[in-house]
Amino acid sequence: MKKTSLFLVLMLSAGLTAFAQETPQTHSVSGKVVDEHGKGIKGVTVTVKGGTETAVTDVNGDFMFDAPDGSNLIIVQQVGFATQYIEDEGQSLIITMLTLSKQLEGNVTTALVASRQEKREVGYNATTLGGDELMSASNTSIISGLQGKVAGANITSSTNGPGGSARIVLRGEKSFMKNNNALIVVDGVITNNYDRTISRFNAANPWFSELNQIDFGNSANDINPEDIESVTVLHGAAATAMYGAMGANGAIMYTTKKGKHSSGQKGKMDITFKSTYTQSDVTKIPQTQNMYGQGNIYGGIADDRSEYRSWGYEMDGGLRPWGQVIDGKQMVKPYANQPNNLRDFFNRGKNINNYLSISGGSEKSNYFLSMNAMNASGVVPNTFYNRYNVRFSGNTQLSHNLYSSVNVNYLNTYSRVEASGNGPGSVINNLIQTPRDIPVQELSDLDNNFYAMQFFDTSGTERYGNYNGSYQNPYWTAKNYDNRNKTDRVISDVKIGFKQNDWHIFNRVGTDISADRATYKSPLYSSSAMDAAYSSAFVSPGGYTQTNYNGLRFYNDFVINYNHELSHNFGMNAYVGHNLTVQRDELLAGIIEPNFGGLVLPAYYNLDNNAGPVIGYNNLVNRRTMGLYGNLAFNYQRELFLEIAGRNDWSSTLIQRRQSFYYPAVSAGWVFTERLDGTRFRNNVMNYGKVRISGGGVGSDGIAYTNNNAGYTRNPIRTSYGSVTSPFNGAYAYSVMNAFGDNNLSPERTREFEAGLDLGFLRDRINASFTFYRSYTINTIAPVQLPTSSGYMYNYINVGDVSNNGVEIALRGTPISTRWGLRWELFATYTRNKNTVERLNGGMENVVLGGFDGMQIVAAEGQSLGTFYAKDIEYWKDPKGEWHAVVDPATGLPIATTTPVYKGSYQPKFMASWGTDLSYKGIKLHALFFTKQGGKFYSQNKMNMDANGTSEPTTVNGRNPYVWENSVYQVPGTNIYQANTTRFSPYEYYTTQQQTVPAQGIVDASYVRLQELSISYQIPQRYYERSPFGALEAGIFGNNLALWTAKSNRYDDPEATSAGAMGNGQGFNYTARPALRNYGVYVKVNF
Amino acid sequence: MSINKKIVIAAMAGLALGTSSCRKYLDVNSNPNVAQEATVTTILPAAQLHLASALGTDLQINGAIWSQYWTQSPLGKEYIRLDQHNPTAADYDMGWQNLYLGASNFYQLYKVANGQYKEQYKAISLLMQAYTFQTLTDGWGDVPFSQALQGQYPDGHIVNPAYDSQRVVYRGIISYIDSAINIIERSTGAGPGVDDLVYGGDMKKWTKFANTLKLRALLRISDVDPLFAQPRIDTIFRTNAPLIGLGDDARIVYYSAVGNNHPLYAELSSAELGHVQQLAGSKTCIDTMVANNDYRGLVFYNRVSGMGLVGVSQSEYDIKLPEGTFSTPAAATGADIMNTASATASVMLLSSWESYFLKAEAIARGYATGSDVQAFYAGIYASFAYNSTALQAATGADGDVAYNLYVNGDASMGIAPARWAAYPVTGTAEQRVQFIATQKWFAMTGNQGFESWTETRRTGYPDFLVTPKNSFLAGKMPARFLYPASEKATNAQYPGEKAVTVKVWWDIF
Repeated sequence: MKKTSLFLVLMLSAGLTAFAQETPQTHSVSGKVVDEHGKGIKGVTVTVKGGTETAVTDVNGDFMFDAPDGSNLIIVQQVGFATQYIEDEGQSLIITMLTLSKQLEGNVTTALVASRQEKREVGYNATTLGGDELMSASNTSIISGLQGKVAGANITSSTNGPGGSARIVLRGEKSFMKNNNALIVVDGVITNNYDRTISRFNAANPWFSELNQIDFGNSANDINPEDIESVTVLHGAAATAMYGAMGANGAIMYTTKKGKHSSGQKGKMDITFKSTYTQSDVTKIPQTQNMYGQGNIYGGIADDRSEYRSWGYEMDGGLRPWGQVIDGKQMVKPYANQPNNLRDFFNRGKNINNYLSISGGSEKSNYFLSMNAMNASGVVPNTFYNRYNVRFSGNTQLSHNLYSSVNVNYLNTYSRVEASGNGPGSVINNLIQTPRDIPVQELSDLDNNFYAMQFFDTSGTERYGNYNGSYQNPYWTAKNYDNRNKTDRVISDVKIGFKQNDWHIFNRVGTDISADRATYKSPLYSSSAMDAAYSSAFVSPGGYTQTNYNGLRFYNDFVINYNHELSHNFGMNAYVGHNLTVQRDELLAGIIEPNFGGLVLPAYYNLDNNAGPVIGYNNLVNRRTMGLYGNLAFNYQRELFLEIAGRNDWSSTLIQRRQSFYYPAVSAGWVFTERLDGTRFRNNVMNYGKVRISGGGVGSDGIAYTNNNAGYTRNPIRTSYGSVTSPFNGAYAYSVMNAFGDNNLSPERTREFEAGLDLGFLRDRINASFTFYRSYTINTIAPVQLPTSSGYMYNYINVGDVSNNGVEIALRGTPISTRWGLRWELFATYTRNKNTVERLNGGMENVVLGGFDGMQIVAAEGQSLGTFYAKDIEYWKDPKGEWHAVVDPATGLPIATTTPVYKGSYQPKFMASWGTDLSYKGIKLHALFFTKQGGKFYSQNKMNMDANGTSEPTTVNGRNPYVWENSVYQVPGTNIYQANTTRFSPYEYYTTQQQTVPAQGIVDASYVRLQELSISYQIPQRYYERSPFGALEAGIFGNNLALWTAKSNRYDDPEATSAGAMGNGQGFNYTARPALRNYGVYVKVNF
Repeated sequence: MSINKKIVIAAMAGLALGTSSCRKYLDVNSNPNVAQEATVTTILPAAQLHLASALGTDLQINGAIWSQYWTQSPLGKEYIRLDQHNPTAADYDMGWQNLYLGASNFYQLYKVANGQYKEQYKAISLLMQAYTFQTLTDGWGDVPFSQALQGQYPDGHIVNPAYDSQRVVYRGIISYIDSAINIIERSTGAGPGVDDLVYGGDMKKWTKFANTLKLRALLRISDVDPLFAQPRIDTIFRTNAPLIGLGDDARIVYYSAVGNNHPLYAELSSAELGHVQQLAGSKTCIDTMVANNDYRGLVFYNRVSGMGLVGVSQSEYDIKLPEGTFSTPAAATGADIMNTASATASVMLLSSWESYFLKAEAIARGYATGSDVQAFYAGIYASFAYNSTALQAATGADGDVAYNLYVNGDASMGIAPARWAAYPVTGTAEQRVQFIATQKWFAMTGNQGFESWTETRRTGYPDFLVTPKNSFLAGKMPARFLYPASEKATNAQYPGEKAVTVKVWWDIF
């Protein structure tokens, strides 16, 4: 390796020496860039081929800069426009930019070390969105803002609020253990997209899990969407081979806004100020029955006022006492349905977002500075999310051929979120267990003893007065269970480069450093009821956890690029590069666990307030890689393109023998319409056509430490619900770890093939892009469960193969485009991915990805990755092919299967979007619908609401016994099934039997969503010509405004998940917070 | 900017790559979050705690319910299936897991000790493995033994260990014990200290443990494998091999410090079980103890205020009894969640009374010579003596007083001697075994649930166990544990399901 590095250094040095000695002469180039209607376009980048000078047009579209003598090919680039190549003939230029096919031409940011390529040059699918498109509905998360705009991307924005988890998977899940999210690259620097939700705790603290979730979101949401100039999505292996192992899942390339060079007196500061106000409401709330209220006429006291279930009498609207008898008094209210008592609990979220950017430049330097402050209050009382961003980006020409640039982005977030899930601190669970006749909003007065959870009576005893003896007043939970997270993060890169003629050599150091601190407070209480009729008490020993996470991502890239026109017809672009990657994660946590003694003093949250031991936990992860890569691209007459790439990686996560792995990629594109130049067909029918084909491999290294021997840990020795820890009477116990790795682990590898077609018709009135791909991943790593008689529970091995085959289609049409400014565009995308687990080694039936014991989400051979595996009702198929539920002839209740069954997958069958943009002069209307069809998800709300009698199905037949529809029973000892006539008790079924068949909680996840709707207005300049404003714009917007779900889903937004963004146990809603609808207004001013 | 400067910048940028050697740079894959090696003093307690967690929770609960000491409390529902004699395979995952993980630690302990000449640790490792595998095979029949515990690559990477017949396992157990005795006899090196949670490193006691365990194992198979077992039992007594006596009980004592609590208490008092008393005293045991004036009943069970000891009929969890109207297991058993003294109870591995009763039975059956009468009463006495302090606290009578009352009665108070204390000196061997086994059953109340149930299977005594009201077995008693669900799902060598009524190898009557 040393030799290679040395070679690179020598090459760089030699290059510098050779080229630096020239002292070139320059000449001035000036001109104007205009659109089809002759109006100047602002912010267009103008360069000269081989030169390092860049100019940017001002408000009027004017530019001027110095070009070296001898160079006269002017390149004019702007996202959304076709790049123009103009010969400089020594006079002022008028360059007309055509808003040609947005999706077919223009630039994309490729993995080619963050330099732009023209889209026609690439032989694979790449989708680019401008910052405007991304922000068409002012989404606070970049990833959520991509929803519906990129074919092939499966985006899940769990709760859709500021800071919530957002997952993006391109072309299907490939790995069992890794997170499968697309890589996020900012200006060429890979960022650390980590989960703040649950993954940090799984090992140390059973207190948090998917069943008891606190969603601080994932760190991809830290980046401010306002700073983004464009986003390019690189879908496949051929496109991302250059990012090595980390690009195995495709990449999202962010290009941030930059300052622009401008020369002479025209140098001018550019200031943008934008202020946005957003409100948020919960959208889909579980649908409730409205007939029966509090109590339990079947298995308890009919009008039990301490009951949380709604198995009581039919609500008659008559006055009825409720709650405890406190000091001889009791409240009275009508025994009537409260149609909105779940919804009313939630506040309206409010979010104020202010953004200021200043940019400018001189001939030699430019800079961009932005600041953003976002302050949002959540829908659950006491929750909030604040985000502050500061970004600086500067670029200086050190000499005519040496430049340097710096990007620094400081990000700060501070948030408080509610717990969901089924733990005692879950606001959502305490809320969902409310009887139908209880006016939840009244409970918000926690000083009223009838609602209070913790106060002292005259005898000094701690009491609660709330009506419910089983679940806490959710307002109290929201106030007292307090979970906060603070992040300080710096993403930066420093680049020094050399550019002359055909050569471009640079070194770039990128870092992403994050520091997260989280605190989790669980109150200490022991309250008994005021009313002697209430037998239950609320008891918790309290707890406190504080965590510190420090993450480092360090990248160094050294690249030599040679871009040369070999002849008039033949061009080449070659580069070689070297990459170092260091990943270091350090987690330190102090935990006072409720099960281990809890707190001494109430409401004092400090690790020094421990009744039991403070459990210390640290987790360190180190991963390093090195890569060498090369890329060679040829073009023939800018019509035929061929690109060959190869990369070799060395990764610390594999043993030395397996450390090195190589993978190639080849892609080719042919713009066949060039052959038709000048023909009628081209002029009148198909103006653009390109076929592309590519194939690539990508290797993804191991997971740190998964090839280690077992080692020893001091983990507690557990029984089903208890545990023993050391020191134990002076002895320290270190157990053999129950998992060990395979020394011979191989890297995960994906081979992918894709072919596509990009077409433009009727002078780009209609555009279409089709891509077909097939990918096959081998050696995916996962822990295989072992029989414990082997002495261990898990063994990490290369466990299986996964295939993904699919189609990506994007369409865009412009039915109307008039000279007087009316323009109407339609666009649509369609994505279909078939994911199949092709093979599992080691005799395994499946690998568990998530869920809980009894309701697992698995990867099973022949099924999709992410298939539900749970016990269900037993069904029998009659000779005619009809399915019947099999019941117990004695009770009429359906029988549970003896073993779990496969019940569909969270993978949607297809996704599609449909949108429209209508603009007239300064007014723009934008709408976007999005749908996912055919997936499934597990709803714990369904299970809970069925059990507590608040769901609609529990009201069938007036809750009297009835015969299970279409049911049969098995004649004992035979294979004969006969029609059943025994009626079952709905109470027995929903409260008991259904809880043993969790597959009944799996519902259809299909939905159609009004994803975005916005209207913006650019106020004509004539109204403020004399003001200092350069441009003035205002708009209203909304996202996730309406949702239509499958009939069987009465419960949740199918996207709301408890699995965070990184886990592969998706499609799992364990009483997560309802998702949000957001809408607001903004004003934007340019100076 | 001068050319030289440019070269320096470029060279520096380039040199950053070449400065550290590639191999060293990539050598960061040793997991810093686990210890790569551990000492014998840390593995031994970990292994013992695993074993005690299995014995003290899953096996204890299951054994004590099937031995009819305990029954599902009407207040809860956690153990209904066990009480119905209708367990599921998943009910056995945790107990099996802790036994094998414990054995795995003992296995690694042996290897570490062997490399460091820590002979005493090797001996303890072998004895504890013998104990664990006896527990496993007594509970489940055929189990992985010769290929077990060797999952890791350096140990052979056997991830689907084959199941050995019980005969093979029992032969293995005896040879492990013999090797251990051999090692202790010839080694002089220092033994463990506080890290030995059972005997604090007292190797003399470990020798007694070894002989007693061997006697227990041989007696268990003495009917089914007489030619192997009986001569060896004879040898134990002929050579005067020391056995566990008063004060030598092999047990792990737990503490009130958080995390050091008795595993059963930790389990039952967990939030997951809802702070509900899940276990009640069974009428089968309580009524017999009351009828025999057995004061130990007040040590093993809580009395109901004003009503004395009130048992719940076996598996009558479905009658609605309010809290406080029936007896629950007392703190001495570790199962009383209302009493924090449960936290400091012990998990018993081999007791002194067990040792005496084993001896009595060996003599009564004619496998050895000596006084079975003496051993019988020594066994009863050992149980009273062990509980003396608790008896004093609960009844005002210490162990001696309560023992005398039990064995001799008190004519002045009109109390007759206990029926089950009147050893049939002139009776047949079978009659004598009945008394020995029944007394063993009393003595094991609430502390040796699994061993007690195992002995009821082998001996058929006591003969007054009832068919639980909600039994799924129509009068039959459960004869084994079910193989755990995890084993079925993961072990290619899984031998297939065996019903709970299928008898194990040595259970031939």
